[in-house]
Amino acid sequence: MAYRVLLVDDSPAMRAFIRRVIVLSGFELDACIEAGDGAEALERLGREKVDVILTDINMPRMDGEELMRQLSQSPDFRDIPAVVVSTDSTRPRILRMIGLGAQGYIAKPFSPESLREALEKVLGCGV
Amino acid sequence: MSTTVTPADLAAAVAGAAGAVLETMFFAELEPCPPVEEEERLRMMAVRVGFDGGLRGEFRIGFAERLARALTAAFLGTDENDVTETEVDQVIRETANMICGAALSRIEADEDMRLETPALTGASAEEPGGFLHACFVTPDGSICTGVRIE
Repeated sequence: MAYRVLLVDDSPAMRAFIRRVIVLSGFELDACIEAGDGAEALERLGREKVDVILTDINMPRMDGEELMRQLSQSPDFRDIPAVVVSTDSTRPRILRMIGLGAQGYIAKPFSPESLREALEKVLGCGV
Repeated sequence: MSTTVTPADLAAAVAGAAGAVLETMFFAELEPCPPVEEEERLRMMAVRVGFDGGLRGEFRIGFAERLARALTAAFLGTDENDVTETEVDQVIRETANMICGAALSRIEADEDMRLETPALTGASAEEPGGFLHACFVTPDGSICTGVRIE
């Protein structure tokens, strides 16, 4: 099965890295949609269907925490599984993001294996 | 504000985070080394990250230019000769972000943390006092870090 992934990170380099890791992990991508912040992510979600969201937290304009808050309040988007990928692995932050509905939390730096395992878990698949 | 973390604690956390980031994300190893010569330091590509939360302060990191290009190529999976200056800037800013964030998460795991957007600075940019410095060497060149708590 091919998946549609929304990557939300203000660093184009990090988006490119994650996209490459996903492909190298054996996931078949139907589309990898990218957004530089939470506001752009919501805009893209309004136009594109996705299977999973990978989001950073610390971003300009709308950060990942506000994005998760808005996703959790949206009947259209709240069932899309979301995984946080962030340098911030403090306990208060992790608890808030899980409370907002994040189904996975990956702390940067991360291994390709941890990203693959998180995706397999939320997508209910194995590659 | 944390009252138990010392600048030396944070510097040690930065060293550990730098090793973890380089090894995990770039498959590169680094070893501690004596401070680099001033001439070499002034040629480095430098990034500054301010932080706030349980601790408030500033993190600075400088990369030897050759190392910055090698890291960028490794990160993006491209040839070193094909990386652009923009890509190098993006990768060293993201690397600074990861090292600073990972260090603070290690040392202040129960406190909130806020990081400023990493900014490129000149290596010769005037540095306020109170920084604890550490340098590391890789096969492609040196990295120098500095951190201070306000």
